[in-house]
Order: sequence, then C-alpha cells, then structure tokens
Amino acid sequence: MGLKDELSQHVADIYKAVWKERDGTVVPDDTSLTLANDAVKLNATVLYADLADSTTMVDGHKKFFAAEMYKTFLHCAAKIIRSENGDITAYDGDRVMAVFIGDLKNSRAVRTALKINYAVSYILNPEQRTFYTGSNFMMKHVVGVDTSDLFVAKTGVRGANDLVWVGRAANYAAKLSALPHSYATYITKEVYNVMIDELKVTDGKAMWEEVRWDSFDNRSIYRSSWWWRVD
Amino acid sequence: MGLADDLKTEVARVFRDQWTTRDGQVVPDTPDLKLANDGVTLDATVLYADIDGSTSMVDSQTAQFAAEVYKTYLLCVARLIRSEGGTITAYDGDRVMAVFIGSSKNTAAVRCGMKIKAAVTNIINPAIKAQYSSNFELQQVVGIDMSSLLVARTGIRGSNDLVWVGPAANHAAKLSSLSEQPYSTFISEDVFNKMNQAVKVSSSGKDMWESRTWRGKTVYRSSWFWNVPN
Repeated sequence: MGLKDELSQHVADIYKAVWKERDGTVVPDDTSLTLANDAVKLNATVLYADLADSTTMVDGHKKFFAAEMYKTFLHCAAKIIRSENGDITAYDGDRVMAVFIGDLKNSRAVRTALKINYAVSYILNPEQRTFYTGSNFMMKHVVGVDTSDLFVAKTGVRGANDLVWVGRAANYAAKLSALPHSYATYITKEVYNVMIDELKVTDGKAMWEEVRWDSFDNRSIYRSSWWWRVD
Repeated sequence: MGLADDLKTEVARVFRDQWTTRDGQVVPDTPDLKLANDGVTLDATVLYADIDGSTSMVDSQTAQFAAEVYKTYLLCVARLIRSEGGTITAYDGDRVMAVFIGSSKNTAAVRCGMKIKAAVTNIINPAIKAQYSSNFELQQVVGIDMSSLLVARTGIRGSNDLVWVGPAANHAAKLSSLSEQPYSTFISEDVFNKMNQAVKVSSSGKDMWESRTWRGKTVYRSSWFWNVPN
C-alpha cells in the first residue's frame, strides 16, 4: 500500500470511530490514553508562558546568550508551575503550556503567572546584568490564563508529549500570551471572577485593569503588571 | 533552601558556565546533550506546520470533531515529514516543528510542505465531507526557513526538552502564522534560492511561487501542492 492509500485509510478511520470518553480527575499523560478515539474530559485552567520578542533576541544577540535566556526563563517557569501544583503539558521552544485542575485552580494559575513576573524582574534580569556587565538587554515575557472544559486525546505524532488539548482555554491562553509585553499577565473574565480576593487587591489597590481584547473579539479581559513574591 | 534561592542559584549557574559545543551531523535528541551548557550546532532547515483558524474551529465545532481534525492533520504531517527524511523536534497542541539537514534539506522541506497541502486537499477534506456531509474545510499553513542553529537542553521535561536557537526556528514559526489562503506554504528567500528547480517550476513550466515583502524581507508563497505518492 502506498503512502497516500495508507494515510487515506487512517484518516477515514479516525473520522468513523466512535469516541470513548471519561471524566478525568488528574491531568492525563500519554500513557493514560490509547491511540484510538479515546478521550478524557477535564474542567481545567490553562496557562501559557511565552518569552516575548524572542525573534528580536535571536536576531540581535549571540546564540549562546539567547540560549541562556531560554534556559533560565523555562527553568524558572517550570519550577514555579510545579510549586503551585500545575502540570507542564507541552513545551515548544519558547513557550510552556501548563494545566491546573482541582481546588483553587484559577487562583493557583494566576499566582503562578504573578510569580513568573517576579522571577523575571527580580531574579533573571538582575542576574543576567550582573554577569553580562554593560548588557542593556531586558527579558520580557507574557503569561495568558483561561479556564474551560478540555477534551484530551492522543495524536500519535511523537512517542512522548503527543496529546492534543481541545477546548477554549487552550486556544485563548495561547492567544493571550501573544499580547503586548507592556503587561506581563492577561487573564479572561471567567478566571478573574472566581479567583481569590488576595490576588485582586493589594492594600486597597486594584491589581488588575479590565480592557477589551481588541485584537480578537472585543470581549472583556484583565491585565496586570503586578508580581507575587517567590519565597 | 527556598524556591527563590533555588532559582537564583540555577540561573546564575547557567550564565556563569562555559559552553561546550560541537558541530552536529544528525538531529540531536535529548539524551545526546548534557543539562549543563552543552550545545550542538547544525546547519538546518526548519519547517513549522500549523492549523489556520484553530480558535474559530474550537469555538464553532464540537470538541470531538475538532479533536479528529487535529488528529488527522497531525498524523499526515508527521508521516510526510518522516517520508521526506525530516525529524519532528517539537509539538505543542496544534503546531509541529521539524528539522531537515543534509545536502537537499531545502528541497525536501519544501516538497514536504507541498505534500501536506495535497494531503489536506485530497485526503483530509474529502474524508470530512464523506463522514459528516459538512462544509467545514481544514486550512493550514507551513513556514520554512534555514540557518545555523544552536541546540541545547532546557531541563524542563524528561523528554522533548530541547531549545533550538537560531533565526530559522523563529522565522519559520512566524511564517506559519500567516493567513493568506489559498497560499499555504511560505518560505524564506534563502530557502527559495537553494531549493531545486523541480519544486520551483511545475511540470507544465509554470512558476509555482510568488515573492512578497514580509517584515522588510523578501519571502515566497505558493498555493501549489505536490502529490503524495500512491
């Protein structure tokens, strides 16, 4: 059988097969799903953390310097995500996707975002400037957070890490993390409405500003440049 | 030691450590590199394949249908990349990154992009119609660029945790987010200049590419496909 026939057969099988679905209470990995149309449904909060302006950074600096920026940013983001009981579900070069489920999933995801902002401002950039004296480079990043039902299935693309996360939160969080880095965190109204007050107000000051998502569909979203200390 | 101290120590170590690098002859895998500042440099062609309009698909279709579209697209993309000698290096939900190396890396990557277009047009969309009598049509974009790349480990996950540093990785990803249907393959001028005549001009002598300016650079776009062999 030639490649075309093989692909046609396989594609038709995927559209024909009936889905087997179950509700999930843990974040699935690729060993908990089969390659057939097997799926887990979750109510989850998705966080994307993206290094901003990475194209400019790669074009304007030595590759080693850029590689160190990626490594340190991804290291801090990953450690902070895990410290808030998030699961890193995908990673492709300069951005990380994480999923939070269970109690206080929205508050934990938002606190993660604010802690990543702290790490960039008070750990990464100072260390980078201490080592590369005279560097005027400032790392910028953006985190996007949204919450929805997710439908998780296996794709078979790679041995590992080959799940597909279908649901609004996966798309919106990724899109929010591509917004301008003048603000470090963007979240949807659904996330804002249910997160704890501690993350909304500090000493009577509102930490978030409601704005229209004008590059998408003008819905209300919230943005912040506040941080949360990493202890 | 608290988390903040832990992060500070690791960050300082990455900035302080000297890099050891070597030239690569194969696309490296996670176990080939140490977690310290260890790097492989490669001359490579990078291909990104991305579904065009995935947010509106997820918003307007059932999750089951959208998952089937993702699965069939990713299946075809992965098989076609391997059939052209490429290596899948990253995958994050709806886009796939692949690296091609060797003497005909640009021609192979471009032919792969054009075969992905054929698979979508002649395999996936007809299968959607056959199963669902739906008017939904999958659209996708492939972006391709070439450059030298530095490959290093990030330590973020057990596997699949390499970072690919170089203009081609960034530019190919950005080219794959252009939405100018029916144009579905976007390539840099360097790739265009290096690729074989067979992927430039059709068998009937027609030019398959047109140039356009993108962020101050010349890039080429095509709506042509290359048949997947039977």
